[in-house]
Amino acid sequence: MKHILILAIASFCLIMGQDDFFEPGYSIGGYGELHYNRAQTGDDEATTTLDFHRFIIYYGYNWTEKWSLKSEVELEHNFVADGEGELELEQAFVNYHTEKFGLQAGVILPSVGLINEYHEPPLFVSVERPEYNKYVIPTTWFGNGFAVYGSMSGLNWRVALMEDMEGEGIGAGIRSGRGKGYKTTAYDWVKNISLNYTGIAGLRMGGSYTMNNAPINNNPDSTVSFGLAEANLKYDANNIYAVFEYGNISYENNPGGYTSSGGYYLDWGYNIAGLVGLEGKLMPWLRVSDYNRGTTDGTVNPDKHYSIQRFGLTYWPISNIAFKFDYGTHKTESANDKKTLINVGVGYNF
Amino acid sequence: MVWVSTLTAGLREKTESLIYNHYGDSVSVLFKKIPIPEEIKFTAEKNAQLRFMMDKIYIWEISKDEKMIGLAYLDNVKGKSQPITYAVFFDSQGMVEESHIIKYREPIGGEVSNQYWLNQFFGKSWESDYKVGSDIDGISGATISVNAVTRGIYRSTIIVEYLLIQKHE
Repeated sequence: MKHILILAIASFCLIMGQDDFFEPGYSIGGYGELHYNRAQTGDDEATTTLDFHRFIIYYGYNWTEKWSLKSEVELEHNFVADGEGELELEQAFVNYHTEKFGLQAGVILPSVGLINEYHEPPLFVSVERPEYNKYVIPTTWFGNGFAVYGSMSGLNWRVALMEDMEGEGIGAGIRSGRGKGYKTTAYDWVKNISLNYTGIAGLRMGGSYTMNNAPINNNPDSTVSFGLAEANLKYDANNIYAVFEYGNISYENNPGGYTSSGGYYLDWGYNIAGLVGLEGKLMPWLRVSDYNRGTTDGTVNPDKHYSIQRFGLTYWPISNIAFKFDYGTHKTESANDKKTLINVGVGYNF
Repeated sequence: MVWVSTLTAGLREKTESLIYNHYGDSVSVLFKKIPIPEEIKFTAEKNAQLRFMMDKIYIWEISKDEKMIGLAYLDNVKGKSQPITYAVFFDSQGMVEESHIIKYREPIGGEVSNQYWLNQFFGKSWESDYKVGSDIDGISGATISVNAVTRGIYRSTIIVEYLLIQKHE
């Protein structure tokens, strides 16, 4: 009997046995960035700041090959006191993942634009994130919700359902409408649908649509409706760097009286490290951007219409660290109050 | 010493299907699970700046008309939080002919599985350069996976070079 039992166990092990490359356990990661910013408006005296803008710790735990937890906690501006600085639980979700599709539930990010989900500093050239990714797409946009996603042959799709935005915060854009997972409502749900293609070397192109009837002061009978449509493209290979993002938000019942807002930015760069005999990646680059935070029935509010020219130099000694310098102007259409900005920064991820 | 293999869960089938696709249906394959040779392990880890996750690797000797024409290598590297199982197909001189991601287990960074990116390793050997950004193109949003797989393939070339020398001696 004993021998039969041993044989049965051995047979079971042989049938079920596998080289289990997966092992349950945790993983950590993170990113951060230090910024020096100098800003001068007209002939006014320049202001300068030195700010450790973001420090993020990623923590993940894998229960099985398919089930895991992923989380990110962010500290902004180095401390939190008296309304200054921010401590945020930016991601915390249970993830079910297979090779074809997956599910996420918890604090998640909507797939909108290039930077909302991929915001580690070495992934963009400027010291600060492009203004487009602040005032058109309210990066980093996170909240409570669920998502399903999948991919096939380089085509990736994702559908997310998330907490309502706060209607009273919507006005010149939707940035101030983010609930950030704090006691949010789920009357209408933010609906976010995205599609992107990554099947060609160095190329990422895609787009998304996001909509919500955002309750004003948590009242589902009084809402601000918005629809955000955006398209994006990034090419980063063969020493060439090019990024284009375009987005438009349409509103109904916007408390600021606006019917739309939106804009674009375009980055060009070229890696010259090989030409100058430097290890890593050295890239001079140029940015042109134009966006408005408020248009009413086709008429752009000149106080809310910005144009930006910027150029810079970014050096990646290794792909996880970037040293950045940029210089540029930022002006509104109305008063032509031209602001000159000089930024220097260093960012990392691991 | 050769262990009896238990490489299942579809990984062996998938790898061998790719092996026959690459080397042809008429080849014969000899599958081995072997301990990482101690004589070369440290050098491989140091040069590739990547430790082995396990103490064994998987090798297929590919022969045609009783002559060895290549060697397939399967191993793992750690991605952001999970192992990435990859295979590299070599010619009999230790040059990379083809690379594949056999299993990718995470929602982000899966672009390293795309053949257009893996094709960059064609023709590389233990003597080649593997710097991401100059020798190997990165992938935006997949930095950790790109670095891990690049180092893993580099590490495999060092081990395979050693195995081929042993074989010829």
